[in-house]
Amino acid sequence: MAQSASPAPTLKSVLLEQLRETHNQEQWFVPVKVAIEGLTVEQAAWKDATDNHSIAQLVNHLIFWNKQQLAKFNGEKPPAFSGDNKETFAGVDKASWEASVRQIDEVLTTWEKAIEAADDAKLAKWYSTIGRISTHNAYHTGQIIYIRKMKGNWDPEKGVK
Amino acid sequence: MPDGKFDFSPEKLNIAGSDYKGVRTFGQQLKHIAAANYLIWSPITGEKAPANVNDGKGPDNMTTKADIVKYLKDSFSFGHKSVATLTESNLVQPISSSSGKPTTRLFLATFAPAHAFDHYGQLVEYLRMNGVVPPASRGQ
Repeated sequence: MAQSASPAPTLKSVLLEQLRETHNQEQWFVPVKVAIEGLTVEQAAWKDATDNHSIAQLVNHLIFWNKQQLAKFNGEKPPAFSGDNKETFAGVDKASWEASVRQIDEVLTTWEKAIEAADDAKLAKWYSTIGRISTHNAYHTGQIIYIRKMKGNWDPEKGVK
Repeated sequence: MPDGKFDFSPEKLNIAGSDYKGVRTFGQQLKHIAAANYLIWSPITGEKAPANVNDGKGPDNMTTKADIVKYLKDSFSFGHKSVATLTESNLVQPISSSSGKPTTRLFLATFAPAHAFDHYGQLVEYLRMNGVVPPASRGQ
């Protein structure tokens, strides 16, 4: 039986492909879900003595901004925000770290579903923000891998040797 | 990053328990971003990437800050030129990437910044290891 050709690429398919590659589909760089796999709360919460962020703080920062923009995309009121970006780098305890691992996956999955359901007019209005979400995810994931390499708890077989 | 730190790699810090053996230096990170920019963006116009992309490593003998920053800036200028050729009709037309994979000009145009940002995150760690807070993160 002849196979049907792949559907023609669209703005939607490109935005989704890029977002997924920062979420859970590995291509050129490690996606955030893989980057935080297997971390204990102690490893996630480790930070040096300066203002540099822990992995958990970086993940919570990503969750915050992904949720903020998703709420706006959906026409909902976003979570309260004072305007101080420092507050978005929240720390964790054991229970909240497990919740953070779950939430970063959930918010990106929800974003993908929202993009899938959006029409062209909506995407034409939002493509720039969605693109920035992908680059922002990639940025902090790059940091996370290097913090893990510093602490010797990153498996180089997952990328970034 | 000061000129004298472009050969900095966290491997040099010999941090107990770390796994930084063989990671790129600060300069090598930037050369990789630049070389990748050329490789990713060149199929947009069909122009051949310059020979000095060197499998994504950039020129081996390029070591000074001035030369590396110029190489990086030139790669982004190349991207701007490529992106200027995008039209509604060619944006999502199927083409091949430098490695021969099916892709679109829109994906290539927007993927390179995401790739660069992933490395920017690594560079931020290098900067902070040297007591430098990246300009974009100051005052936050």
